[in-house]
Amino acid sequence: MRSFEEEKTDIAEIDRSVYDIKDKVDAGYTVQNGLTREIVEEISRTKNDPEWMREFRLKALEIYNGLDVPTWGPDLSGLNMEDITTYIRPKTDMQMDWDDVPDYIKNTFDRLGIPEAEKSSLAGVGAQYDSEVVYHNVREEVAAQGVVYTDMESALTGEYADMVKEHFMKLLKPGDHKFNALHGAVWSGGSFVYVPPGVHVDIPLQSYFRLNAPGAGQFEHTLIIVDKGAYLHFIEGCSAPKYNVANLHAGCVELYVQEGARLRYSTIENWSKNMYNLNSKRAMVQKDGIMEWVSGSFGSHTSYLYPMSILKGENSRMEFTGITFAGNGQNLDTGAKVVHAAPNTKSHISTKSISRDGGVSTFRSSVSILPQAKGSKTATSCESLMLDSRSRSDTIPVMDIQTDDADVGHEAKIGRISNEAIFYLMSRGLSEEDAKAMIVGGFAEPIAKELPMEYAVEMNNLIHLEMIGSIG
Amino acid sequence: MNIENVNRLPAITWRHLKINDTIIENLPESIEKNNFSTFSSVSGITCTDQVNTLSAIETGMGKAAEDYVTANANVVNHFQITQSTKDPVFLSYSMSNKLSAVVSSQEIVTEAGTEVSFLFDYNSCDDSSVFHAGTTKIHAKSGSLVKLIYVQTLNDISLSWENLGIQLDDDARVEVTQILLGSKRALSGIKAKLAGNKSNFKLNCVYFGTEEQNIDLNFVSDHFGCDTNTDIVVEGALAGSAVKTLRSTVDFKSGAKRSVGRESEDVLLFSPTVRNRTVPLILCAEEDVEGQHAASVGKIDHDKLFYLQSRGLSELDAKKLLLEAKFSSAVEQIPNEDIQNRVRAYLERSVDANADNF
Repeated sequence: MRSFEEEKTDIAEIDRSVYDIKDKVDAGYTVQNGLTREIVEEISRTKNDPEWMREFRLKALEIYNGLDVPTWGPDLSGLNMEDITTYIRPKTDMQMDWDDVPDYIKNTFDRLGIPEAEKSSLAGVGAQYDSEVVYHNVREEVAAQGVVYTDMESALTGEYADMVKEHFMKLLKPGDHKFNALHGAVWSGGSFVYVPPGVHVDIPLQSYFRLNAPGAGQFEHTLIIVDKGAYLHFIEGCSAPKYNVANLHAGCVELYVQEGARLRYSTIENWSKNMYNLNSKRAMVQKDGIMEWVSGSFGSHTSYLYPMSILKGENSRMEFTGITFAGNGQNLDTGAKVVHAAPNTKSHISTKSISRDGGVSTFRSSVSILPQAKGSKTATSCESLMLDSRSRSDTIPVMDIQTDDADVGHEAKIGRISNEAIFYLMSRGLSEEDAKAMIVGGFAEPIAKELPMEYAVEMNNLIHLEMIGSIG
Repeated sequence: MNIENVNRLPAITWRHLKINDTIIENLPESIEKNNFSTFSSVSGITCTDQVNTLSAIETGMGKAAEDYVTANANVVNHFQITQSTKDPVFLSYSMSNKLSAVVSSQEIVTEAGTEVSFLFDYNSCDDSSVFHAGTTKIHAKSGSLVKLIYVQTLNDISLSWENLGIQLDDDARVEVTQILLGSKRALSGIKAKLAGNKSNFKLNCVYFGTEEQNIDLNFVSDHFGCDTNTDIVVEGALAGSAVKTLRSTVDFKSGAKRSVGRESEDVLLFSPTVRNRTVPLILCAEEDVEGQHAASVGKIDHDKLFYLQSRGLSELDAKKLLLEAKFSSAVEQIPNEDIQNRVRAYLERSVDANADNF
């Protein structure tokens, strides 16, 4: 029999049934497990890389072999690269029409609502299944504005090959950490976006990443360049069915926000709970540019995720809004980094985290104001909600201020759902469950309102839960 | 010799930030072993030179710093408080080329229900480079109260550290005030273990870093008991090319129900070449707690300046006044008027010397 203490904080598990439907693994091509020079060369050959990319991959492999696994964050001992398949090509080429995508893959994306979303509210969609992009399309009127939205492989050899070469892994270098090096060696798939100067893409582009095969890794590369005065909202979604073996996601996202441009990058991460999500994201923001991150972390067994912004140009700014929900068996280490490298730059980091049923949530951040960044301002706010005492919630922020002409604010709070708030709402006529749902929903509301409508609904579904007796 | 892993964060972060811990370099290999204790007998307090009773209590700066002091101590005191004392226990070291190194290993044990105050004062009386390293361990038994005021006004070529380890039993209260004004390299580490229910730890640390000073602080409060309370307030100012690193942690262990931990920091910056680093951790394994951190770093508030100038003060005098106000509550805690005056004079000299930056 469960104790009252257990009962009262019981907030139900997120319903993952739609994400957990597994397709039969029927790959067109698979490399051996593990990571060797031969495997890297095989991937490069299979993907018809240009020579510079083949050399880049091999150099990254060398760096990978020389770097240690990080030990400052969550435990990674359950991840054995010898067991990971780094490249699995599905039995299809990339299509531009959903009807041409094989049924078993199409059905998966249908269940996730991707084609429907494309019709109703997106300017373009990319869909990656295991290691390769299986579908990419962009609305005609958006393409007519000169917006390029394509898979990385096509970009690597197409009209924008030089631009890709100039920017590829220049922000996120293989030497930054072991999993960036791994990415450099075995990357496959992902999207390339170029928004020409002054173009305002009114509705978002979206890429969706699905990892179906057990024991596989996904290493997609996203490169976005928003040119002077342009605007883009890019949405990234990810999911996978749950297996009993470790899966690995080590993608890289490189974002270039040019002078006066604005980029909003939204992510709803809902990987399965056997996933090691070791993803890297970085943005370089030029003069008067604006970078906005909206990040929801719900899935994965273990996450290391800290989108970084380098405010390189004067008056550039960054906003980061994030929510992390860590449940049973999850250790989610998330946060943000920002470097103020120019005068009058501004950053604002606002995060919420919820820990329940033994989940571990860590907010980790780094805010650096360099000596030349006179007149800069930064504010960080992180709030954590503990739903029981089997869980953990830690905040580990770092501030490094190297000029006197800066305005720095930081606040952090940790606590629980108060009995008083529940009782108050119940005294106003709400049921206990509704009261708890309202409080948790209210806690997450500042994040939800930053998301596109359909994602806000999905997030609310994820955290608007069966709150059986959840007085804290 | 060097000591590594000093002032280490209880939960580390990215290594490239080089903030997880620090290193103390160029320490004297050996120290003159005479016992320089300046304690005079006080009723209700027994003092011996046996300091091995509190070895299980961990310190803020860590084992390596403790071991150095243990091996080199020339001041060794174990204080047992059996009755409450009204007057503070006053240990003052005026350091010079004749007393160039004080390495103190001290223990304070307060019996149940007793109250005691200690004032540790380290100052320079000439321009010679001096060295102070101290370990102080405190066991505050049930319902007892310990007030510890530490004043460090050594000259700006010296090296000093004070390393505290504190254990609090039920209803015990420990209040620490630290005033760190001197030394080229000044370090402080405090680890408080709130083991007993309703135990209470309060820390007020103030510093003024000038010229090439490097100040490195690590404060950790571990909540084990129920209804425990931590209040850490750090206030400081940096001028010249001073560097300050503050690591401050409130750690709620599972079972520390209804506990409250607050950390706050306010830093004024007076020079474009200062560097202020802060890592305020809240670690939490208990649902029924309240943890808060707030930090504010920047220049003097223009509204306050404007108000004072509108009352007739020059801009420089207004800034001086606001700076002095920052230190005043800590200075008023010093239970000795002479030392209060000395600290005020030291502050004034520092302020005047850095007025060009203001």
